Amino acid sequence: MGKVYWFALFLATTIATHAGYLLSNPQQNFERKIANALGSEAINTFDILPAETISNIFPAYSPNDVVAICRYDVANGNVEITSKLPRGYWTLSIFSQKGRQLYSMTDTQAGDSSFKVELSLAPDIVEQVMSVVNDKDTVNEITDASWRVMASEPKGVAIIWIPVADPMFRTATLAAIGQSRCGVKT
Amino acid sequence: MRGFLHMIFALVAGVAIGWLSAVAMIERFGVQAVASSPFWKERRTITDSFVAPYALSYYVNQGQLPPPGTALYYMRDVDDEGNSLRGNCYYELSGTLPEARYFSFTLDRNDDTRTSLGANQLIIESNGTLKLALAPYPVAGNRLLSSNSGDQMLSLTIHEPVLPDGVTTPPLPSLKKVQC
Repeated sequence: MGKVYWFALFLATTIATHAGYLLSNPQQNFERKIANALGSEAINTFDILPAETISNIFPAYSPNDVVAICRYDVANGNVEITSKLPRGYWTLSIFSQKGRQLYSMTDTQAGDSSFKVELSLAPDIVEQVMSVVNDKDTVNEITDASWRVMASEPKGVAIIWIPVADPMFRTATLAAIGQSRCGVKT
Repeated sequence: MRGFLHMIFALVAGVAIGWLSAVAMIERFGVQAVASSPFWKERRTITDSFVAPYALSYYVNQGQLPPPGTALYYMRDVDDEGNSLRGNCYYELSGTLPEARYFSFTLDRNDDTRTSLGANQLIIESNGTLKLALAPYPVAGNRLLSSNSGDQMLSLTIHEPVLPDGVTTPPLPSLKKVQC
């Protein structure tokens, strides 16, 4: 009986450590490495990435592509992402800090070369219960944003990616993406 | 005293094995060979499969973001004979064009640099197929410049692929060694 008890303790510790490492360690590494690449102050602002940083962060993207990244933090208010991009293929992807993709949009889905997305923190279970009790809909408030995304975690990254068809369009693409805004909604 | 030692041993062994198994599984468990082209590998992060958390953690652990959900990402570090892709060798990739909104090939060289060719930069053969050389010296047609030494990895990203119903993987190109 004693051996079974110690084996159960060993098994429980193994599973807890395995799950704990899987859930927390990659996320901490990601936060640290992204902060090293972009600078720890770069929050709620778009940065256009140099080619070597694109290679380090995005294995699926080519170093020839134009990539802008915003580390958002919705803890202190909703974050609004606005952009007007050149005609052609582009994607907007929003990831949580655990690397889970929360949202994606392409030029064809947007139907236009400009868009506005509002990011907010999803209500927790208590807020959801209270909204039902108080008959108040906190999820579907009408806003002036074209799209609204609710993040389950306050921090993450938003990425605009544009494959540049011809190097002669690169300067114009960089100028357009440079006008993109990612900031706390005022 | 003996019971206390057993408890300490169970805890220490549990932490060590849990930690080591997580590290090893993040590194190896999330990657799988493509059934139709086993030399190409993929990490499926958007799936209900139980390997998805490991595949996702692999990227995040390295400070990387996984390919977006609108894209398929394949990689290979061996040729069609199963030998490592050497930087000083000349390889020829050939196959059909992926039906997709956009695609690109990227070569990760062993000097931590990358070179890439996108769909809009590639010359297509008259029969609609694609040929691409991996070589450390100039060759006619499409070429990704190798690093002239060490091993390298080739990846293919297919953005918004067009796939028939029930098909999850497009036909992937072959990669043959021409000379070293």
